[in-house]
Amino acid sequence: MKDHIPYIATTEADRSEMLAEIGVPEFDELFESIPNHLRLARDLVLSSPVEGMKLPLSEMELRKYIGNLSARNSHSCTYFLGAGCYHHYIPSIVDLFTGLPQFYTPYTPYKPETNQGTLQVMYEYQTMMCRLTGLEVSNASLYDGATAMVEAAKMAARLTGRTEIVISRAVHPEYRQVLDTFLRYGDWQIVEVDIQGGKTDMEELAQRVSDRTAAVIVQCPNFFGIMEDMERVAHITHKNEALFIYLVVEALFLALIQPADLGADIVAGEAQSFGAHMSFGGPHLGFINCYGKHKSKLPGRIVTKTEDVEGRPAYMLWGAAREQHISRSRATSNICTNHALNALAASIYLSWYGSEGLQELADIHNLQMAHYAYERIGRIPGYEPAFPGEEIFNEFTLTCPYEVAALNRKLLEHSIIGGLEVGRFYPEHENKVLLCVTETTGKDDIDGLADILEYLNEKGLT
Amino acid sequence: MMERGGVKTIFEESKGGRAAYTLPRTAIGQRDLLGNYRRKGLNLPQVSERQIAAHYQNLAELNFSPYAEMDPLGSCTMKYNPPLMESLASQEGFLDIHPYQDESSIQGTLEVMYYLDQYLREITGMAAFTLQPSAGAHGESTGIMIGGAYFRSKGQRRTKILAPDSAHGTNPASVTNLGFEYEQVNSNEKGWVDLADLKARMTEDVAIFMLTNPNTYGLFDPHIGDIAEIIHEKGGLLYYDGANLNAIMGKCRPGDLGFDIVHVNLHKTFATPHAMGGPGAGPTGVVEALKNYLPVPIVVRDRDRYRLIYDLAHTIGKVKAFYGNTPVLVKAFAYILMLGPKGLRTASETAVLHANYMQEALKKRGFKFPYGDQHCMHECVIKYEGIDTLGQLLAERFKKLQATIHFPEANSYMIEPTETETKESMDDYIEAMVEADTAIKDPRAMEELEKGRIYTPIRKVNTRKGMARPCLIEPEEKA
Repeated sequence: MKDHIPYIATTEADRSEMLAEIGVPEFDELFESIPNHLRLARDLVLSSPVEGMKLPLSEMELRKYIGNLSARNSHSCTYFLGAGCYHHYIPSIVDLFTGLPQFYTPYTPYKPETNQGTLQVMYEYQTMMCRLTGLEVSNASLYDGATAMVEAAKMAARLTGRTEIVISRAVHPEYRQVLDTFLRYGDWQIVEVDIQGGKTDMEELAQRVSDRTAAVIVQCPNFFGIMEDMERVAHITHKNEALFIYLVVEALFLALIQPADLGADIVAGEAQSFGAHMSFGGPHLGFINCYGKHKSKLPGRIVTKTEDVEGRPAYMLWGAAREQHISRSRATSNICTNHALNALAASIYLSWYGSEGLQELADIHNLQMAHYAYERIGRIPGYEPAFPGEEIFNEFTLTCPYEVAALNRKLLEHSIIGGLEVGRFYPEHENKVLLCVTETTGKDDIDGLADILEYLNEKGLT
Repeated sequence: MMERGGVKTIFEESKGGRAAYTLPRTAIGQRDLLGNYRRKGLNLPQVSERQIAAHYQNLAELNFSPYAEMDPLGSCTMKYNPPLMESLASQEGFLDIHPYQDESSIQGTLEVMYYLDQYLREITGMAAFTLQPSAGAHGESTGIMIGGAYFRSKGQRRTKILAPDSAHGTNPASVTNLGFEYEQVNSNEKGWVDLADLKARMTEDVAIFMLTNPNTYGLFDPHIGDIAEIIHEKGGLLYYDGANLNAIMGKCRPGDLGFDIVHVNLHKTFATPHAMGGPGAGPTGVVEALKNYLPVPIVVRDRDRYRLIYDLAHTIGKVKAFYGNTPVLVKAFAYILMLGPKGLRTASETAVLHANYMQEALKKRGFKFPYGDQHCMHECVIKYEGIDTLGQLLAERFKKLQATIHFPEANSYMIEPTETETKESMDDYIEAMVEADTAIKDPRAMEELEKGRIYTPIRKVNTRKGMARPCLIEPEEKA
C-alpha cells in the first residue's frame, strides 16, 4: 500500500500550497506554542492485540480481526435474562433508518434551518412518549435509565426546594448505585425503603416520607418483576407534598398501564425496549416525562413546533436557558450529547407497532407468555416462585436448586442465556433466579427450557 | 423560491385500520390480568410500513448531511465517520449480547475494552481509564467525582472548582450540578489563562482546575507548565477537557503536560458519529494516584482471559448502569487500529494545517481574527458583527453548514475544518463566506443573491415565537 493515511485527502502539493498561504516555511512552526520539552519526542506505541498483526490495519484486516472478536461473543442465543436490559425483536426498518448518514452523522440541531429532520423526529418522539405515560412534556433523550433517574431526582429537588430522596430497595440495584455516586456531594439525603415479600414495604414508606422529602422513587414492575401498588405510593407521596417519580425500566409495560392514571408526577427511566439493541448495556434510551408546569426544570433537549418567518411549520430547540451552553453554572443539567439516535429508533419502533401492535406485543407475547412460563417452570421441583401470589409483567423470581451461575453455564451449552442470580445484588436472596420472557422466547423456547431443567434435575448439573 | 416543503407529522399520516407490525400467532390460553389498572386507550400512529419508510426518508432529506457538506462546527470536530466502523460495530456479536451474561461468553467485547483502555492511556499519558461515561459531560462529572473522592479520602475539604471564562458550558454546569462551587478564571489578551488571576484564585479550598488545551479559541496555552505548577503547588488536581484532543495526538500528551484527569470524546477525536446529538462516549482517564477511584467495573487481563473487576479500594461506584456504550467503543477502537501511531499524528497535524489555512485565507479576505496574530491549532475564531445573518445566508443561499456561533464569545464564528476535508471544499466554504459577507455589506449584491435558490427547507425560524409559545407535543386528534 502507498503511504497515504486513510480518510485524509491532503496531498503533498496541497500541503505546500497551504503552508505558502499561511506563510510558514516549515510545517512544525504551526506547533510552536507547544513548549519543546513538553512535546512527545517519540512515536506513540500502540501494541497489537494479536501476535503477528501489525498496525495500521487495512479495511480487510480490520474486518477479519473485529469479526473474530464479534464471533467470540455468544450471541443469537435464547435469552431468559432481563434485569434492566431486554431482548426484544427489532423490526428491520429501525436499523435501516438509524443507519442513514443524514441521521447518524449530524450534530445536535443547534441551527434549526438545516436540521428540520432531526427536530421533527424528536418532536414526534416526545409526543409518542407522552402518549404512553399520559404526561405532557418529554425531553428528547438522556443517556440511560439510571442517569435519567438521577436527573429526575435533582429536578424534583429543584421543584420542591427539598433535598431528601426516598427510594425503594426494589429499584434496580445499579440505578441506586448511580444515585449514590452522583448525590455524594452537596446537601443530599438518600433514604432507602426496604423490601417485604419482593415489594416495597409500604408501611415503612409511609413512615419515611415526610415534609423533608423531595421525591419518592418506586419502580414498576420492580426489579423482581413484581407490580407495586403505585396508587398507594402516590397517595403517601402527595400527602407530604413531595413528587412521585414513577420509574420505568421495562418500557414495554407502558403499553398496558398509564403512569399518569396512577398518580405519577414525573415518569423517568429506560426505553431501551423500544428499538435499541441490548449491546452489552449501552447505548440505551434514558427519558423523563413531566407535567407542563414543571418543564422549566426538566433537563435535556426539548423540541418545540413553531413557524418560520413566513409562517411555515418549523421545529426548533426550546428552553435553551435551561441548558449548559447558555446558562453554564446555572443550567438544570450538564447534559450536552444525549442519545438522539436511540430516540429515532424508538419513534420508528413505536410507529411500526402502532397502538394495537404494541398492546398485542405487551399483552400476549410478554405478559401472557411470562405467566405461562412462570407456571410451567414454577412447577419443576426446586424452582418454586420466590414471591408467590404477586402480580408480574414479563419477569419473575424463582428459587433455584443450584448455584445460578453454574446452572447458567450449563444452559449456555444449549445456547440459552439463563436468568439473573438475584443474590448478586440481594445477599438475602441467594440462589434465586430472575427470569425474563419476551416475544423472542416463545412457547417452544419455554417448553425447551423446562425440559432441560427437568432433565438436569434427573441427571444433576455435571 | 423554496425548493422543498415540510413533512407532515406521522400522526397526520395515521388512519384507523392501518398497521405495519407482524407478530407470530400463539396457542397459549389468555387469562384476565391487570384488572382495573389496564390503561383505557393508547394513541400511537397507525400507519403502514410503506408510510413509515416514506416518512423517515423525507425527514432525513430535511437534514443537511455532513456526508454531503463540510461541517466546520468548531469544538465539535465533525470529521468524517467511516462506514466501516458502523458496519463493524453493528455485528450481532456486539449488539445482541446481554450485560449480565457469563464472562466467558463476552470475551470479544472485553478485548475491545481492554485494548481501547491501553491505547487511550498511551495517547493521553494517563495510567488507567474508565469506559463507562456516555459523553464528554458525563466524563466531566466522573472526573470531578473522582477528584472529590480523592480529597475526601485525604481528609481535605475542597469545595471549589475553577475553569477559564472560555471553557465549554458543560464545565461550569458539571461543577454546580454535582454540588461544588464554580469560580471563573479570566483569560488574558492573548486568549490564554491569566496566570496572575489563576494564582490569586488557586487557594487550598480549590479541588480542581478544568482546562481545555488547545482552548476554545483554538489556541494552545504555552504556559501549561506554569499552570500545572500553580495548581499542584496548592495540592489541587488539573483536569483536561478532552474536547480538543484531536489537535495534539502524537504531538504531546495531557499526562506529560501535568494533567491528572482526562476525559476523551470518542465522538470527536476518534471519528465516531454524533448521531444528531448522540450516543457518544466519554472515557475518563486518571494518573496512578487516582486509579483506585475509578468507577467499577474495569477490565483486566488474566493470561488469555479478560475479566471485569469490581474491587477498587476507593471506587466512586457507578456512573451509569452496566459498562458503557460499547458499540461506540468498537468504532473508536477500529479507528485507532486503522490509523496507527503515524496516522493519528498525521490526522492531528492535518487538522491544524487546515485550520491555519482557513484562518490565513479568511484574514486576507478581510475577516477579523481577534487572536489571529498567533497560529491556531485545529480551529480558528472570527469576530463578526451580524454573525447570525452570515450563518443564515451560508445555509440558506450557499447550502453550507454553519460553524459554531457566539462561542466562546458573543459574535464569534468558530471554524473547525478537520483533517478529512479537501483543500477544494475549504476553498469553496471560504468563497461562500466572502460572497455572503459582500452581500451583507452591499444591498445590490444582496438583491442578486436573493433572486437565487433557497437550499434550506424553511426560511429563518421564528425563534421568539417558538420560545414564547412552546408546543412540545402534537395535540391528540379529536375522536
